Parts: sequence; C-alpha cells; structure tokens
Amino acid sequence: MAFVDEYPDAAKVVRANFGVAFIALAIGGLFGLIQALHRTGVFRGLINSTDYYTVLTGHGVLLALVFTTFFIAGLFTWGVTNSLERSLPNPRLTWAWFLTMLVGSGLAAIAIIGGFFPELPLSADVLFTFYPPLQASPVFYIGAALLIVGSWIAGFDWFRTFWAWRKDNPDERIPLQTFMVLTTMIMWYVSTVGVAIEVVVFLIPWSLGLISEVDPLLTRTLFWYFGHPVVYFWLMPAYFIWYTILPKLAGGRLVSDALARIVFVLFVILSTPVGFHHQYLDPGIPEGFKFIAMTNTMFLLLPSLLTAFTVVASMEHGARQRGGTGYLSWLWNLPWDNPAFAGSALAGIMFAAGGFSGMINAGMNINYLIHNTLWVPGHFHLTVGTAAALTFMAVSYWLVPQITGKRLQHRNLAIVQPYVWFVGMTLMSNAMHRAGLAGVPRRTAEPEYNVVDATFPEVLGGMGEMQIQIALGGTLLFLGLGLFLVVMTGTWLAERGRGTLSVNSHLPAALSGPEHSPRVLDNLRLWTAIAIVLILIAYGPPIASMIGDGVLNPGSPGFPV
Amino acid sequence: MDIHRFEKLWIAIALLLIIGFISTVAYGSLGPGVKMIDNSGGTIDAEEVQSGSSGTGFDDPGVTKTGPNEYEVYVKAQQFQFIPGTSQPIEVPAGSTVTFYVTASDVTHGFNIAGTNVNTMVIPGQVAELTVNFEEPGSYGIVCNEYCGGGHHTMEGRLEVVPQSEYNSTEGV
Amino acid sequence: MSGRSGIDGLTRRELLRGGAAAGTAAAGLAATGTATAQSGVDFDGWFSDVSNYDGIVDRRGQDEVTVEVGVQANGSDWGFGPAAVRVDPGTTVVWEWTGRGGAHNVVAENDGYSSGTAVNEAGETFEQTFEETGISKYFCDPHLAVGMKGAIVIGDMGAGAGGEDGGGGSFQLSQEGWLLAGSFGLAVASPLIFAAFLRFRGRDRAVGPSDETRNQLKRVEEREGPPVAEEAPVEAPAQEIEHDEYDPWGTLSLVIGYLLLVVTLWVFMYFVEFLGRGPTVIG
Repeated sequence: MAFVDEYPDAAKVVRANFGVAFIALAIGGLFGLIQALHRTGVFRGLINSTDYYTVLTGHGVLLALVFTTFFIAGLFTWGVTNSLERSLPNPRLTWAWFLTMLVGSGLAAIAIIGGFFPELPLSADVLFTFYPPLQASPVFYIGAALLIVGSWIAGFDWFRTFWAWRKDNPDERIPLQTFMVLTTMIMWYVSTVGVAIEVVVFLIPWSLGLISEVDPLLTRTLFWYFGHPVVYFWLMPAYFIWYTILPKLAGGRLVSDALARIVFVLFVILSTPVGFHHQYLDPGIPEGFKFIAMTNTMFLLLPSLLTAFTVVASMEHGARQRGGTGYLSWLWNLPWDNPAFAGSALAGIMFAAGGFSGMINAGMNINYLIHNTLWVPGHFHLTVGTAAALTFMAVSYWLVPQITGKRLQHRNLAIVQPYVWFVGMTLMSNAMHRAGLAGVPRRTAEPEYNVVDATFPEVLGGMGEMQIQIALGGTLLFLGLGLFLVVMTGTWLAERGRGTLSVNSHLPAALSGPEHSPRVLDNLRLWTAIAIVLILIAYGPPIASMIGDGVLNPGSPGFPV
Repeated sequence: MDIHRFEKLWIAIALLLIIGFISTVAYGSLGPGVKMIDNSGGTIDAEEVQSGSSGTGFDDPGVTKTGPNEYEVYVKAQQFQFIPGTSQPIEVPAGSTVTFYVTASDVTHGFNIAGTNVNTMVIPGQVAELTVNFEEPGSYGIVCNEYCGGGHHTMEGRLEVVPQSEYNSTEGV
Repeated sequence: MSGRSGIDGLTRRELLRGGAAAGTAAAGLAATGTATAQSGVDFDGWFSDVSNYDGIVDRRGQDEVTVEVGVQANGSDWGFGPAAVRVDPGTTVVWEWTGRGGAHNVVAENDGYSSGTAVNEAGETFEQTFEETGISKYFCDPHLAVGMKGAIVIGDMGAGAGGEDGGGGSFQLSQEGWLLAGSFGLAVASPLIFAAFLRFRGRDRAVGPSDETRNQLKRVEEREGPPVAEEAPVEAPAQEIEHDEYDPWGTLSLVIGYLLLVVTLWVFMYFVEFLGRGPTVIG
C-alpha cells in the first residue's frame, strides 16, 4: 500500500506543499530565463533595465525562499510520517502553518510584482538580501516574516510528532530520517532568529515610519547571521535524500548510519557562526572576527567531504550489488535511466564542483578577487540551484507517485530532464565563474560599461563567448524546468488506480546500522548548547560593538525603491 | 562505531586539506601582507556626508598628498556616481601608496577597481579604508558591484595612474 | 561633466532603449499614436520611462520659467518638475535644485547645454534661454537610467486642438504591463497546456483500459471502495554484499582524484589568479 492510502492526511499536506513549490518554481524559473537573456544582451525587449531588478528579486525570493521552503516542508512531513510510522498529531495545526507560509509568500510575491507597475504604491526591488537603507514596501517584510513564522510552526509540528513517538518508544534510537529533520530544524530555529530580529524589530517599523532610521551594518550582519545557515537549510534536505533515498535508488544500502548522524550534528554546530564570511569586505568588522568565521567555515567543509565519501560509497555498493566490478567500471551499472537516481547523482557531481568554488569563497583574503562578481552566482547555482533544486526535482519522480497514488507519466521526458539540466548548468555556471574571475560584477542589468570594459583582463575565449554560454545555458535550464513541470502536471492529472506504481517506498537498512552508532549523537540538547556557545563567541563581541553606539546608530533613513 | 578504514583515511586527508586552506590564507596575510577591510575607518553620519557637513575629507572629496609618494583619496559614493571618479577621473601618480577612504551618502554601494583585488563594500555610516600600492601607470575602471537602485548598472568611474613626471602633485582633484 | 563618459553613456543607453522600445512597438503602436495626437508633439519615446510625465505644461506668456530638479518621480526624488513645459521663444528656463534625491545635473540630449558636475545643494540654479522654436530634450546624467528626463517645447508647434494633457506615458506603461502579465501567464501555463496536449492527443487513451475494463473497475470500486495504489515490488539485488565484505575501492579512487583536482585548482586560484594580480589591499 502506498503512502497516499496509508497516511491520506499527511499525503494531502505533502501534495499541497509541493503544489505551491512547483508554482513558485515555474514563475521563478521564467524570471531566471528573462534575466539570462537580458544581462547577456541577447534579448532585452521584454523588460527595461530598471525592471531587471524586479525580476531579479522575484527570481531570488521565489526560488531560494518560497520553492525551497515549501518543498522542504512537504519532504519533511513525508519523512517524519514515514520514518516514525505515525501521522502528524493535529491537522488543524498542520494546515495553520501551511496557510501562514502561503499568505506570507503571497504577500511577498505581490509586493515584488508590484515593482512592474510604477502607478501602484507597492514595490520590493531590494533583491534577495534586502539590504537597508534600500526600502521595500512593508507588505514585503511582513510577508517574509510570515513565511519564516510558518516554518517555525511546521518545525514544532514535526517535533510534536517526534515527542509523541518518543513516549511510546522510550528506548529506541531516533529513526534516521526523523533525526535529520529534527537537526535541520534546530539549525533553522537558531539561525532564523537573526533575520526575524532584523525584519520584525527593525525593518517593519522602519518601513511603516514608526522609526526613522536603522543601522545598515547591524541589519546586514543580522541578515548574514541567517544568510549562510539558510544555504544549509536548502542543502541538508538534499543530503537527507542522498543519505536515505539515493542508496536505495542505486540498488544498495547506506554504508554507515553513524556517519550520517555525525554529519548532521556537525551542521547543527557549525552552520551559524560563519556568517561573517559573506562580510569579509565589509568595513566596521574587525579582521579577527572575520578570521574566526573563516576557520569555522573551513571546518564546515568536513561534513560535506564526509558526505561525498559516504554517499558515493553507498552508490558503489548498489552498483556492485547489481553486478558492477573494477575500480571505476561499476559506474556503468548504476541505473542512469531512472530519473530519480540520475537527477540526484548528477546533482551530487555538480555539488562537487560547487564545493570547490565554495572553498574559494570561504578563503578570507582571496575574497577580494571574487566578492560580488559573477563568480558568486556561478557558485550558488551549483549548490542551491542544482545540488538542492535538481535533487528535489529528481526525488519528486519517486515521491509524487507515492503521495498521489498515480503512475509517473511521460517517463521518457523525465529520463532526459536531469541531463538537460546538467548540460544547461555546466554551460551557464562555468561561464559565470570565469566571467567573475575577469571581474564582471553580479546583480547588474547591463554588465557593459563605458570605461570599464577595456580593463577587464583578457580571458579565455573572451566576454562574448561567456555571454553566449550563459544565455544558452539559461535557456536549456528553462527547458529542463519545463520538462519537469510537464511530467509533474501530467502525473498529477492522471487517473488513480491504473495498475501498480512504478516505484516502491522500501528503504533498506544501513550496512552499519544505528545499533553501531554512539547514543550521544541523539542528544539534541547537547549539540544545540554547543552551537549556541560557538555563536556567542563568533557574534557576541562584534554585535556588542555595533550596538555600543546605539542600536539605530549610525543610522540611515529609508530610500524607497 | 564501524568506520571503514578508507573513510578514516579520507577524514584525515580532509582535515589536512582544511588546515592547508587556512594556512594558505594566513600566509597571504603574513607573507604578501594582504590586509582585510576592517573597522579602522571608523563610523560617520551618512546624512552629514550627504549634506557636506561631516567635518571630514568627505565634505570636499578628492586626492590629497600626505607625504612623499603618499596620497589620500576620499571618495563619496551615491546613486549613481562616485565623487570623484564618475564626472572626473581620480588621478594618482605611479609608484605611490594611496589610501582610499570610501563611504556612501545614501544606500549601500560597492567599490571595485575592475580587474584588480581592490574591492570593498561601501556601507552608509561606515568608512572603508584601503591602502594600495600603484607601481605602474595605467587606467582602471571603477565599478559599483552592489545593487544600489534602478540605475545601478550605470554607476562607474575611472582611476588614472599617471607617470610621476606628468603628475601635478600640488593639487588634488 | 566629463564629455567622454556622459556622451558615450547616452549613446549606448539610448541605443539599448531603442531596442527595448522596438520590442513593445507592435503592441504599443496604438498607444503612441494616441499620445501624439493628444499632446500634438512627438517626443519619440523620450518619456516612455518617465513616471512623472503628464503632458506638456503650458507656460507661454512668461519671460522666465522655473523647473524643479529633484521632484518625486521614478521611484525616488528623481524627476524634473514639470517634466515637459511649453514656453515662448526667447524665454529663460531656470532649473532650481530641491536638494533631494542625491546629486543631479541638467544635460541637453543634443549637447547644447549642460550644468556641469552633478550637485545636490538645495537652491542651486542653472539657466538657459531658448530662442528657436523646437523641442529641447534634457536629462540628469546620474539618474538617466531610472528615467530622470525632461523636455522644453519652444513655440506653438503641435499646440491647439486636442488639448495639452496627453496621458500617453501611463497608458503605454499599462499596455506594457498587460503584455508582460500576459506573457508570464502564458509561459506559466504552458507546461499545463503541453501536458493537456499529451494527455488528450489519444496515445495515452490507447494504452489505457478499454471501456469494458473501466466498467468492470467501476463495479469493483462500488463493491470494495476506491482503488488502493499498489507499489512496485521490491527487487532483491543480484548479489547481496554485506558490511564486512565491502571495500569501496572505487569511491576511494574517486575522492582521491577529487582531492588532487581541488588542491591543484586551489594553488592556481590563490597564487596565480589572486596573488599574481595586483594591485591588492595592503592596509
């Protein structure tokens, strides 16, 4: 019996979340195509260059916040229900968080779209990072706050389910999927405190005119307190899929339950005290604190490097169980024609490349070379844009049939989709990285300048070649997105009960199971406490000095966009 | 806890890699002497910068000679220009040590001498202080690399490093 | 005002804007026509991105006319007030700075006059006398991209029947808005349309159950409730490999390969790309 019949209520919640996520993905992806064609100069007929920033804000917020948060909420609802084998306790609470998130996303989206219509008093052309003193409409900030609050209630819902399970199973180890959900949410609670204070204490009153000034450095520091952990909020669900579902899709078993838990514990501890690595080039922050953030960031490589080994070894296990041999020839025994496997595995390969550019981003002084250049979006399109997004799309090919009870439709399109995405991202991302090295800035509608072009150093292939790769890559990515949406809508609209599903939900146990992993790993209180101590060390003194001259000083009045 | 011997090896290698990265960055600071932007520029009132009443070099931004081969350049960034830089280029002589003080009078901007490692955020209320050696004569573009409003893509400037002999050292911009 | 950057900037941006205008030209044709007929003056798209353009304000009969520099427009204080004025030949136009919206200047599109470097002191003025009949377009250099533009119409050209208040700007904008909204809607819906196409073109029906089977299923459903989705069977692996007999040699080779690549690239990035490229911040 599939998930949809076993837990019909939970299946409905997962479907609702996925539905919103896919709509946000469609609109945000379209914005991405418009940008890719606009900034490369291939086609500038649809929008003028001032509206580019409206599109850019929409692309960032809809994809990085709305798509991810809703997809993750759906995935985690499935993960908790499935691994604890019990439904969420209170459907009213569940729908309350869904609606809170939905209303928040809707408000933010309306404020952003308002930027296209100068005659409307709504606008939020402040980009994903909304640095004050650029000021958006209060509707945008209120929407963002509601989305976050909704996600908090969702986390509480999952914790409640876990506590109820714990009462019935006092001595059992936390099932791995639930363990991953809970650790991810602990990290999310700890880190969203920063952006919540920024938005609720400063930006909402400021945009409503209740306070006249805010401190731009303090508010951006609060943003980045949240701004780096948020990337782990996108990534940890991808790891959840790679650890618990990908080995099965490969035909094998997870190599080690203990290592998976260690990785998630390391993320809880290290994800937050690293935000200053986004502010290496900010005046007003002493170099020593930037160095502390760097060492924390570098040690944060460890869980990802461990994951690379464990996940690849689990896939290799699958390939060998399927008859694979040799040092590397087992790679051919992997099910590359299964879209759920191919998408997750290709996303993992791209993440290895994104990992390298992330190592450069983490290096403190080398940041002068690439800060705010196109290198940075080149990097995060490999991480959130592929490691997370492509994995989410891939697992949908496996999960959506189970939550709808419908066979996956248009399987042939689904099989090519991950490869289209992979090729598109390879073209776009490598060109973005190289353009960034040449000094081409990010976040600009027209990267041509009157006096600057001549001084961008000569790069391999030249600027024109890079622009074409970005435009072509962006177009392929949009095509890949279209294919995904066709498969999903087709499946969603298909009839129920026509034959058996082509997938099953069986997840084999780890080779080295939880019985071999230390119990202390499940002590969530301990890891939370260590995380808070590290945060106090990394953030306490600099924030104290920023608010030492007054919480709102040095202040800036708002500059409405 | 079963951890395969290969994975134990990999953990050791990963830790070495991390330490190697940190050491490289530390070498960059201690060897070639790359210094991070920090809080040495102090804070300032952005509205006073806007109105020209801050009582600092930002009231009359430009180049000043402060010693043999040493120059100070105050640059004010605002929507959508660098003052100086956009309307007239910043001029400094080759072979000099130049300290830039950059701040914003309105929103957050970026200050990047294109194609070089001279790159900083420009945050209202904070002064970015950067010292740079310009050995060779040359002409550089300056780009605002942080979104600052609808005309952001037009915000640029120019820096001219002119040969010592051609530089009129008695006046700034 | 630096001739080089200012003028090049104008030429390039105007070219691009021309391209953008061409894109919407087809849809906006009727709107532009209306605007021209109403205001009687063809600004050739000059005001298409100027939010405070509201027709030509008639100031004929005055020797001196004031235009404010830095009035609420285009998302901030980035406008000339009024954006377009009609004056008699021989009138002196005085631009007066409000001190809001950052530093501004006044630069003629045809290079005929310029107030010089952008300044932001309130009360600053710049004046220019217009003798010849015609249209003089001008802009503020720092805020050209966001639509801080204006025009002086000298003489009676195009005045008379039809009135002065052409609402062309806003009408054209909403037209553009509709076009944008329409394309978005269509694009977002396109996967749905495509899915519907795939579904109804008949192929799926052909492989689906026959009418008899459907009726049969219906009867079963009435008897036993709605169908339960059955999962695919779990496949046993070709060969079971247990923990103690598994050495991931392939994984080890892959991660070591990755390590060597990363170390090489790191050395290249740090010592060649970064330290090899000056100047660098040293204090």
